[in-house]
Amino acid sequence: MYRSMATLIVLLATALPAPAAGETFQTDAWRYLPVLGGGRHKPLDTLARDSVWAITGQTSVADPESGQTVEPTALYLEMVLQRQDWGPAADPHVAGGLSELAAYFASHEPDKWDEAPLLPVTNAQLRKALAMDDGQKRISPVELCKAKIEDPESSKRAPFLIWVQSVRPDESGKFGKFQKAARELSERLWSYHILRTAQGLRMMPIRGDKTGRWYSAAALTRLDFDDKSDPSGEMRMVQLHLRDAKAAYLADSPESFNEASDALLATLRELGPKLVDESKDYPTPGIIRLEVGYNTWRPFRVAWIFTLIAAVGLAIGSTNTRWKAVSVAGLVALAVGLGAILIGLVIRWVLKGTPPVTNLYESVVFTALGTAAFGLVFGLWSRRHGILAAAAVVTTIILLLADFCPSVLDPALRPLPPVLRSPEFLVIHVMTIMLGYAALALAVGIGNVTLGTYLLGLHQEETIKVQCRFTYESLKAGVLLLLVGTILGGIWADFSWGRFWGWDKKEVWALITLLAYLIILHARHTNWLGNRGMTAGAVLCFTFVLMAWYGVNFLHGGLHNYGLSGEEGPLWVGSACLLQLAFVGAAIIVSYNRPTAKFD
Amino acid sequence: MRLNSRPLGIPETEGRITAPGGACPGAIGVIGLRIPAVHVDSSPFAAGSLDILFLRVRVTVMAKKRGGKSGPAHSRINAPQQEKAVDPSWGGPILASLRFLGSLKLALVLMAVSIVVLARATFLESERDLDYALWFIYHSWWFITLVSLLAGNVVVAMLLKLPWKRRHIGFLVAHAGLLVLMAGSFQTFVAGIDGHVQVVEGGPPAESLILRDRSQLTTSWREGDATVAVDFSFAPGPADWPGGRTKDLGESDEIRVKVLGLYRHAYGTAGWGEDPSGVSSPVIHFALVGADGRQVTEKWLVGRKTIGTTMTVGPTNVTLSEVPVRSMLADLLDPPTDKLGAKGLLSIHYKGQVKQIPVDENVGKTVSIGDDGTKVEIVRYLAQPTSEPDGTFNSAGDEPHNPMLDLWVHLPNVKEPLRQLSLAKTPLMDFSGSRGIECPVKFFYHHPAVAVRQAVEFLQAPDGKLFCRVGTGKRYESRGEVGEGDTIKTSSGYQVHLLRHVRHARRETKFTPVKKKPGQSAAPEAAAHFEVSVAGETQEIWLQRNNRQFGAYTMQTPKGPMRIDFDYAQCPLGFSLKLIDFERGMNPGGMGDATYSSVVEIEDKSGLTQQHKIAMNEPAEYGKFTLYQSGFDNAGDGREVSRLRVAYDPGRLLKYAGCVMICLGTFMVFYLRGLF
Repeated sequence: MYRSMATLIVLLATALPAPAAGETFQTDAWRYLPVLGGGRHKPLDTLARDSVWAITGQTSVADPESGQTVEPTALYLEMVLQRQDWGPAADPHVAGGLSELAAYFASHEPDKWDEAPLLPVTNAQLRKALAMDDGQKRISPVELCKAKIEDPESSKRAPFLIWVQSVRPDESGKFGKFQKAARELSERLWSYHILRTAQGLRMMPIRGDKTGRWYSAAALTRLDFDDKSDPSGEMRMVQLHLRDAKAAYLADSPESFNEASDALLATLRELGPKLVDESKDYPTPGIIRLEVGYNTWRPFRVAWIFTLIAAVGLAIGSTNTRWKAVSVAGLVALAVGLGAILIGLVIRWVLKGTPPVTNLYESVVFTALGTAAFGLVFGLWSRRHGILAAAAVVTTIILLLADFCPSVLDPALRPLPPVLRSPEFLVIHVMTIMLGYAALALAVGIGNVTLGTYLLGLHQEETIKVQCRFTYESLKAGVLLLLVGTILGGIWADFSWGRFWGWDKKEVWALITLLAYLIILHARHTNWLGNRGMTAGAVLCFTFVLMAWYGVNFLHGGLHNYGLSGEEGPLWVGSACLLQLAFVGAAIIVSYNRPTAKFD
Repeated sequence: MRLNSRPLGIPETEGRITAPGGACPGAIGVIGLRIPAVHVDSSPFAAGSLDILFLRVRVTVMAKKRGGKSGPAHSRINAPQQEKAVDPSWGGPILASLRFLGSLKLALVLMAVSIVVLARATFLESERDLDYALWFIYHSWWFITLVSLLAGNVVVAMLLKLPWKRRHIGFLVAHAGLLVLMAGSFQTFVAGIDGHVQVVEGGPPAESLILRDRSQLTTSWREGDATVAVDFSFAPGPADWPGGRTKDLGESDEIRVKVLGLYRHAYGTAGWGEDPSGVSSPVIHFALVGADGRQVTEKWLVGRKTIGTTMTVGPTNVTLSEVPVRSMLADLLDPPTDKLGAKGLLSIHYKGQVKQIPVDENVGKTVSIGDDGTKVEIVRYLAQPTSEPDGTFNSAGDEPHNPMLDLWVHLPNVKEPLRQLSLAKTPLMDFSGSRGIECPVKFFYHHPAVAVRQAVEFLQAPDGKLFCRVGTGKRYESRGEVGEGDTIKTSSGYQVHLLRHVRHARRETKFTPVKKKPGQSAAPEAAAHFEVSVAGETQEIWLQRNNRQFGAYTMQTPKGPMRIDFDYAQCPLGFSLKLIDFERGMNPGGMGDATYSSVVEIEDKSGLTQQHKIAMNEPAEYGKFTLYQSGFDNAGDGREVSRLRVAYDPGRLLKYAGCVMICLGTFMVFYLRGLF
């Protein structure tokens, strides 16, 4: 199935107007070059995007001279090919230390990329220690290589590259914020170095290597193959074409570059599958095209655009029963959004080989899928705008979070740690939990719509009652799924680790969440909570879900010692929870002071 | 307009029977009446294809409640309780309290309390560690009580629903499932085994599993050819024991062990303490102070029986010796200098009496000492003794060089004479013990050819008093009895400051408790203070768990030397497990581990072997145990070490059954209400 989808995406991609050939450097075909990086095979397109992110913390980079944003693969190739010297590496498979980098600038003039402010320095203390201007948020690679840092403890100044290697964790194995920021910065510089010296561009498998290693471009140009190590001569052809391409690029000759790169890519396409060991795979062109398509079209971005349209359409449609077309358009947009999420997740499944619920990003996206699906079902069942709109809004919010918080929700495709490699159980467990969260998120959405319409006085009693009923339905579905999912988690843990329940923080917070919702359901059941109480409860109890899902990750080694990149995360989530509390409180206070309206 | 019905409290559009619970005792006011209701739908999605979703006709019966709140349809579960509340036959304080115990109100309070406790526990776990939270919360008596209360509440709530009706099935299944799950968990908690084994590739097989949460003190001694061992196991807990807390580990084989204190994490520093058995050698701790008053060094010196110990410190020597009999002190503190003949003077000590015999005229003669007929024969004088391969001695020359006397001691009731040697250079050396019979006659050989050393010599008398003499190179000066805090001046201007003197010393480790930081993995092990009594003999010792240096101690007991080991508790596997091969699977390009797996060989008691492969997420089962791959390490010599979790879970079946029941019951309550 994914093949046909890939073909479709490729067709769409190729249908784009191609730039005039012959005069410019053609790098588009390079996007589809299979490379090895981060423990998996991927197209150069993905590697280029990952590298840009790893170096700059941004998804795109502008050319320092023209100021125009450059397409990631073109940028990657430019940065690799423009470099005169791919550096001395004694062992072609192992990269040298940071000192290699300092040595480079001692004998080479920095080029425009070396002088471009690429590396972000987010920590103010670190900026000060590096004697950067207060307004200067980024530092260029050459500046950083020559920078001296003032050690915050000893107040001594030392070259940054030397100092950073002496940074050690404290007794509990953790780094302070300053040290963490410094290490992060050195890692960015390291990524830059690896990119520029073509050591990251692992483009050709080492013949029959059991561990599945690939030659980097840097290694390829240095190696001497003979008839024994390269009987068909194809590896030498690759070498030749690579050298030609580089020479042509440096000579600013697009024609010969395009010719050499076409030949290079064609040879690699032929040669690659023949080189890999029997126990390893070489990515098929279909998979590569699929991943490039995924990178280009970003299905989850498409999805939130549609769900946003759905939310607006449904909100407008609800104000006037005669604007049926707007409502129907909203409904269709929601369904399209749902489809886009589904397609995106299926593509990730195909690319990773494991179902797409194995990291925080994927679980968040999967929850969006669940919210949209539950919203559609409940919305069509109830035929209420409010419920569909609530689903659209919640889905949009979740997808926006996934799309715009890449430092917390890492969208990169990564191989799984060993303990998670138990597809059946893990997948069912996580999917069930995430669907549960989705239903509970929908309950929050419907609850907020109810409270909002009530606060604004737009409500009809009947609508409120229907919405409350579906809040209750969402709670039921959510609690049952959460229950089953938590139990499946126990079974998975029992199967994998030999214990059903280990009082792990994550487990305990899942239990707390369940208990909280069970209190609401039991209290609703006996009518100690009316519609109003249940709505408030359904909205507020989601705090527990956030804690179990996200907050728990910050509950280790003390509350202050969490990841630098996600520093503001808990603050934002906490503020959102407080805002929600205030909103619920306001609705309840208003409901007590509004004797005529029935909402209790 | 469409015929429609809605469940759940939408009274405007639905038929509703009001059951005035309070005024209608015993009435089954809530039954499954199916009343279609007319519903005007104003939704914009009037598409016919969607109708299927709206064709469900549900029962909606509302119980009239206080305050007129309308609840969802299945508030009927609650209704029988209300009926019973007014049933005169349901009276009495016992039933009233039963109803309280089974009330939903109590359940909700208990659940709310649980939430608070559990949340607190997770924070506690972050601040300390999981062991801490387990000990003080999850496995504490009060938390178990809380869970038991919840279980009791569920039981009573189920009983209060008697006689059970069809409609109760979902409720009963779900809540009984909860009880079954709790029962299974309790069974695991009480009878389950959860430990690990660590096996080296090609190394010795593992016979028992290690339990992380229990510790044991193992006492072992030789009985004939066999080693007998007795284990005393206890749960040390995750924290330092408060002062005064002790734990008696009971008595077995005349050995009684008591834990007097415990530090969860402690650094040990080796030192010396008094040995109550009074047989070990003395130890001194001294400081060497230079002429300018600055301390040069600080040392511990362990005296050895029979020959003493010498330590060269700075410009001087410090020695510590034990004097076998009190009367010999005079030989050391006030040695004869003028009366020595060419072959010296022999002091013979017997029963407190001293006899000094000039050697010159007595070689080959027998001297009678004491009144009981004990005689000493000076067999030979060897000026330069050399030992021959056959065990005899010869003299290499006549020039005296560590001259030696070959002596025979004739004891009154002993047929064979005891052979003794006395060396002038090491006069305290006593060969008495080497023949198996302690010789009651002691000798001290003074010889003019033996030079006076430059040394500070500490001498411990048999009563434990410490004396000192200082050798100036020309003569010995007595400093008389010395004690802790005394300063002894040497001839070279240095001073020896005696800091500590332990009459009979044994190694004693001082432990300083340390606090583990959250997330710190390499905190030192626990140290405990034990009181071990063997057949009336009692000793107190500090030992560190699972520690090569401080984890073991040998105690002198009436049973003979007894080894004491402090380690994690172990539990026999019932089979032996050998690691044949350990493998790590890598991601493409060698980036990170993809999988790990161990091939183990299991040998049962009858000697049958079989191989099993254990991988992440692929456990192996053997006997009652399940073996899981949990980690790996390196033995340091390139061989790999596999860490396996070994667990026995007797409550698994109940837990799984309970889980299925909970899910099924909840599903029935939520979605199959109409069917029952």
